[in-house]
Amino acid sequence: MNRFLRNILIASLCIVALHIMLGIFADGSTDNFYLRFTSSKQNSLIIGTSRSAQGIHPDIIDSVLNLKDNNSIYNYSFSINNSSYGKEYYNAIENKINESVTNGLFIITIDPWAISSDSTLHDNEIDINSILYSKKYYNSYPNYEYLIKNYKKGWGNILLKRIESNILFRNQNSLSKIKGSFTFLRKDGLLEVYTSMDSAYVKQNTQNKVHSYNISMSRNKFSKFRFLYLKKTIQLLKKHGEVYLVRMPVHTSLLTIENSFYPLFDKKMINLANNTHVAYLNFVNSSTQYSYTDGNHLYIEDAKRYSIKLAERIKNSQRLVEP
Amino acid sequence: MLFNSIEFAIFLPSIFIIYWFVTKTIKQQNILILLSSYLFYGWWDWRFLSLIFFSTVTDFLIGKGLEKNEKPLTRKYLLWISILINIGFLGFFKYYNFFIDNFIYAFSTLGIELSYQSLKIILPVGISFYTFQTLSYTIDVYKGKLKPTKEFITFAAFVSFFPQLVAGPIERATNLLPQFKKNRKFDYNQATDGMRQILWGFFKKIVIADNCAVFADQIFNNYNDYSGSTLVLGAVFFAFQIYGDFSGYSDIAIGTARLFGFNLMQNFAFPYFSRDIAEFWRKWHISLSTWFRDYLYIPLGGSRGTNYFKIRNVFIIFLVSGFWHGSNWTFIIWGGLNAIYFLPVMLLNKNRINTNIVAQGKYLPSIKEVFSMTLTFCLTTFAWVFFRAEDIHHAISYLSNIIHPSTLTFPELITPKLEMVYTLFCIFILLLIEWKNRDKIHGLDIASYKKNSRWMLYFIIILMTITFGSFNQNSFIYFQF
Repeated sequence: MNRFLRNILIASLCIVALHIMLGIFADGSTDNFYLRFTSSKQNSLIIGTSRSAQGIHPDIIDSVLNLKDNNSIYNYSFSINNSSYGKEYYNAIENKINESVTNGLFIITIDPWAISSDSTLHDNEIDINSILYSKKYYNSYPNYEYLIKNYKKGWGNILLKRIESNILFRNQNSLSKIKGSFTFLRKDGLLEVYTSMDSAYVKQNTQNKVHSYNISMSRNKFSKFRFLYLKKTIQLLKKHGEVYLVRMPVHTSLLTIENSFYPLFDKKMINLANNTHVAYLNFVNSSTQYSYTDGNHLYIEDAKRYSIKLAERIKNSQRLVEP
Repeated sequence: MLFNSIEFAIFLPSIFIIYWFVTKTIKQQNILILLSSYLFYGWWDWRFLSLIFFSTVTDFLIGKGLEKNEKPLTRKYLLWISILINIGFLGFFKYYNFFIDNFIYAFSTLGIELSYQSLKIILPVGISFYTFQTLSYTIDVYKGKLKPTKEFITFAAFVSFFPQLVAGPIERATNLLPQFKKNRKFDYNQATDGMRQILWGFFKKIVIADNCAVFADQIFNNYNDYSGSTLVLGAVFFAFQIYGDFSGYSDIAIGTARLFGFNLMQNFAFPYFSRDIAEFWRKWHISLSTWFRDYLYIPLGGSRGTNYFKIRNVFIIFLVSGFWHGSNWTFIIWGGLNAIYFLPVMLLNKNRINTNIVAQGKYLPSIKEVFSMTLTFCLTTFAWVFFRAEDIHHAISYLSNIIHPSTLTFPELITPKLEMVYTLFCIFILLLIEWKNRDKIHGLDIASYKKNSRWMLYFIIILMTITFGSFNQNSFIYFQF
């Protein structure tokens, strides 16, 4: 028995040690969220769902607004299933901000989906599948809590992914020829998505997105709970600096669905902005100026153009709906 | 509780330590097994423990009744009470909606519309397995093959033994029950080999089955978007998914039982190396095939009698076997197809020509053996399409799309492509290791290897599991049966 237990113990310790080592290699290629759980506390944040995760380049905002190292903005947006406004996201944001900062910049992106929820679920159930649910560590590197709870592949895959991304990044040509898509999470929180922009492929992806949003429209409804937490988030961030409420551009086919899902959305946001004394910057009228990978997300090059425009609008501190 | 869960990773060592270091007598060990088995099962849904308990009490009392009564008629009544109760549970939980829906459909085709709402019935996990296990006890006691046990705890532990409770192997009372009555001592070689079998089971489940599932699901769910050759590949992925999933579960179950000093029956014997369909059915889900053979096929007359009786019996056993898997016509057709495959082999009296190990003593099979194995694999994979499909229309459409010139092209790479390539590589490694050990009890039965080779192989398998494995805690396919 002792021999058996000794062998099992040695094998188990070796496996645990191997995992501890592999965890150190996790980076932006690991998955679409991991790095955001490893970065330190921040002074300025971009908040929202995958639209802003892919569509707002923090480095461009920094450069246009001249945000220096300490105040450089960090993209802390996740995705609609993980970072719709609610208790979990609020806690995560609270844990990500430097408590002492008072001159930060906060871009809160909003759309009708981020303040809606599945009509069959109670408020305490809507975020139980969120990646932020019941997390204790938001800023530790390596973040073993995240990897244990959320990384559903063998941890050796972390190395494989890293090798794959290194090969792809070394040969930029391969990125432009990519079929399907490849994602990489940058250290500043931006999710880079490299995908084929072949018109038929994009059309198909847009149709799929329209289909899924039509399903969401029949299943979801405006959530008072989410709206309350959006308000609380604004109030929290206002204590730490300047807050901008931003509605990002989106493909017209999805905008039509959004408008029929929540026709008074803009009015509601203008009221919210007025009540909380923040600026509301609405970009939906310029939606046709950009190209999208699937109707919902800005194409990486267009996201750069959009980020410049957003930064300039912030610079001008307009509080009106875009003409 | 799933084998591939963190809960089980805590549960198993804890029970193992208590079992060997705290309990002192067989009775204490059996009580521990019983309690831990109920905990294991109740983790999924504690309400259904009452079903197992009721089934256990019923068969225990009927066993005692059979011992006391010598009158043939009374004994027959007792046997039928047990059969009706056990099959009644199974019938209600598993087949109630199927029969009602088909009944209503049959009437609607005659122009009579009946209104009835199907009940939302939850299928208790493992009910098909433990029902058959307890039935085997009663039938064996009735036939006088086994003396009924007088100790309730022993019997209850036998019925609910956690390693094989929810997905088999379906143990015979004649094999497993006596082991609960014997003194069990820790055996290093048995436990070490059990660990090897567990490791191999996890490799098959986590690396093979769960990765194949991604592509099989993608292809089966979007079969209109893919070329014929990709659909063929999808069926092959499913063939390995179901093999990895189910035989992986059996390996983990048998290996776990060995850690506690029990020997369960072999459930898979490298079925994809079979040279004909009869050999395949001697090697696939052995515990169920032999259960049907012993308790249904032989009582029906088996392969004796006229060709009519032979054909009838073969169809009965395969159709019932198909229906056992689920209340869907797809399973019945799957069973029927296998009966059709089996008939020529049996009628030509060639069902026992391949009883030896394929290419025994050789590294590689002959061309004839390769051809036979490939043909058998193609036939079973064709039948698996019905097993996997949502309904008959799905299966037929899927197969129709294969009959297309695009079947002669190279299959498309499905996203994620890298994962697809390494999944194919892992299948190759699985086949390589199983081919090497095809004359052994399980794929990693390598006790006879030199120490360095053994550790090298452990290292490779662990590394592959860590690198390519999916740790999504996906349920096992056979839980639904």
